[in-house]
Amino acid sequence: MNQPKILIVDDDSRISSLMRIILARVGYDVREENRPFAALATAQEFRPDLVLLDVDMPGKDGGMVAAELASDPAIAGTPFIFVTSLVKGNEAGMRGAVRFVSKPVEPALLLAAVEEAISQSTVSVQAKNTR
Amino acid sequence: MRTTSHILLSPEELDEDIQPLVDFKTVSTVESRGAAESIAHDLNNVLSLIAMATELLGFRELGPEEQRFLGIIEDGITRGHGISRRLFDLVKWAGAQ
Repeated sequence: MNQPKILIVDDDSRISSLMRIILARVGYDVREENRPFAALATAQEFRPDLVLLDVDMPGKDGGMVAAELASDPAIAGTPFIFVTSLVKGNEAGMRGAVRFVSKPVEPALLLAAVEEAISQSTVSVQAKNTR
Repeated sequence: MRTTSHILLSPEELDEDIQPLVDFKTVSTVESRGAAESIAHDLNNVLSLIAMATELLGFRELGPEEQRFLGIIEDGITRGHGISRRLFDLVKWAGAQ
C-alpha cells in the first residue's frame, strides 16, 4: 500500500523541514511548499491525502489557501489541519469541521492529529466507495 | 505661590483638546496589541523549531549529561510557551477592554 501523502504549506522553511522529517520518520510521504501562492499548483501535482496549513503567512494566509484548494474539485475533499498560534494546546483538535494543531508545535500532538485526520479520511472514502 | 491644580474647559474646548489624545491612545493601544500578538507569533515559531529539533535529538542515543541538557531545553520550551500564552491572554484582555 502507498504511504499517505502530506503536503505542508508554511512560509518558514525551517518549520516545514522539521515537520517533514518528523512525519517522514513514521512513514508518510511528505512534500513542503513554502510559497503560499504556489500551494494550489503543488497540490494539483502532488495530490496529497492531507494538507498541513500554516495560518499566519504573508500575502496569502492559510484560510485563503484552504479556500483556493477547496475550489478545485480534484482536491476539494482533501482534509486540512491548520497550524496556528491562535488556539492554545488544550483548545486544539476539532472545531466544527476544522482541525487545528497549536503552535508551538508539539511533535507528539502533530503526529496524533495527522494520524486521526488520515484515518478518518480513509474511513470516509471507503464508506463513499461502498455506497 | 499658588499652583494650578486644574483648568476649566467648556465641553467644546474639551472635545477639541482631548480628542487628539484619545485618538493617539486608541491608535497606540491597537498598535501595541498588534505588536504583542506579532511577538507571540514569532516566539511560538521559534519555540516550534526548538521543540521539533529537540524531539529529533531525542531519537539519538544520548549520554546522561546530554539527556539532562535535553531536559533543560524542554523545560525552556515549556516556560517560553507560558510566556507566549500570557502575551496572547494580555492581547485578548486588552481587546475586551
